[in-house]
Amino acid sequence: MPVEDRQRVSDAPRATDGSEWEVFVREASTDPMRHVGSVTAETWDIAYEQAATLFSFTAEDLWLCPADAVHRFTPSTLDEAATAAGD
Amino acid sequence: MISVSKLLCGLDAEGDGLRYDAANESDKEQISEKKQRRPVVVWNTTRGCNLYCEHCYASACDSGADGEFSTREGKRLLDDLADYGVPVVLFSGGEPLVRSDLVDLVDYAADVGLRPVLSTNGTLITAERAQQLADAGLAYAGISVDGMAETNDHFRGQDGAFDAAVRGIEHCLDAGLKTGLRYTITQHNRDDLRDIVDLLADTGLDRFCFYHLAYGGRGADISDTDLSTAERREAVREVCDLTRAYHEDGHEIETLLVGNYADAGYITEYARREMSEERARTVRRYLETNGGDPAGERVADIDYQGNVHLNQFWQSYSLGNVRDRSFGAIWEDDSNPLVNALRSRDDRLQGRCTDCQYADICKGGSPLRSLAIHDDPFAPDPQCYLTPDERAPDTGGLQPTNAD
Repeated sequence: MPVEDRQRVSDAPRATDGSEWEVFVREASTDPMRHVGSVTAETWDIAYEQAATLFSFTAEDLWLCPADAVHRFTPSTLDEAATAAGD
Repeated sequence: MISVSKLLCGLDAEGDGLRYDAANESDKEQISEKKQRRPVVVWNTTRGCNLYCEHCYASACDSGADGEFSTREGKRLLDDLADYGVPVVLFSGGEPLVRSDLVDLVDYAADVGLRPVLSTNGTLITAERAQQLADAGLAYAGISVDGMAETNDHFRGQDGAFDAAVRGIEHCLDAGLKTGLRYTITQHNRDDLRDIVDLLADTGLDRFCFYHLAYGGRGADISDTDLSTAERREAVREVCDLTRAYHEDGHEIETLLVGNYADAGYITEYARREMSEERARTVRRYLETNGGDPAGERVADIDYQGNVHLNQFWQSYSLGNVRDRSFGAIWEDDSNPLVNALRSRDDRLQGRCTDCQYADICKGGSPLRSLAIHDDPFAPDPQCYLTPDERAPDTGGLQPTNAD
């Protein structure tokens, strides 16, 4: 897909009671790390606890990343405040 | 949702096709001729609310949140849902009527082929607003009242909320809107249940939805007010009894139970005990088609910031955000192991659910309550109130109809 076909999703907040944390899991040591959604929590350790209760049945590795640290580029046009990818 | 009036009294309703794949047996115009293939979507249009209810799953307060959808974004979202084939969009909040563009959004939803319905506290519904919503194509207004005046106003944090909600109900009925009650049963209001039905039936209301307490948002903070097992059995029995009493008197009210699929087993047993074996078989057949707890399958939620959830009560976990990709793409992403497990949860049931004869029509109940109490979404629902005799497959209860 050409670079210009994507736009950068705005930095609109994703949570009000705490922060949003993107969750990644690896189910077996040879599997790729996979994004499996996000949890809402005040701190990383609470986010880890929440994610672990949801995914421990299958996850070997579990990673967290603050959602606002992720820059998202997409062909979706829903976000009114999205900007051109190169801006 | 389990329709007590359909199962025990044979009352036809608009949801028979959607819920029980029984459109051709129903005299009522149907929401869908076929059992739903896409989820009903709850859209929390705003966090803002004029009340502060003790059990609010959305943690609503008096102001909206940063990142809420503009009118234009809302319409793009409705296009997205319509393109995916969502049958029903439930405008919720917070309180959706604090959005000045609600009528515009309802109108747009109807235009693109969605069935727009509303969940509201009713207190902001004027005669004019009710008529505008009816003209825009609103198909149903569900109005929350959680007890008689004193109980409700305490629960909702505002004196006069009960009277305002009843006025809102009357305005909706006057505008010709199909209107129903939403009532979450707790220890605080269980004694008001029959009185509220009697009072509102007198105003012309004929649809009553009784919710079990969900342990999400502020609802999790008041789980100590949840019903005991004995109280829950008594409350559900009262819903069954009063439904039948109204119908025997020629008043065809529609009653539904929401949020605890142990109800499926209880109602089947109730039908067998109080009515007939034949009625119990019919009840079970409908409930097999219905399919048990709907989280991650027949219901979805999009919050006011665009996060997609497995149901409206489970706000602490999100599958993705509709500003990133379409709702359908998020919902159908089969790489998510939790979603896959929920959609095949028969294989993961534990404890008392493993040998329960009603596991196939309950699916273990609410995964959110199990998560809140047991730290495991596949553990048995702590609200299950079936007795060992009712759960046991060898005590004369009803086996799955396909095993008959």
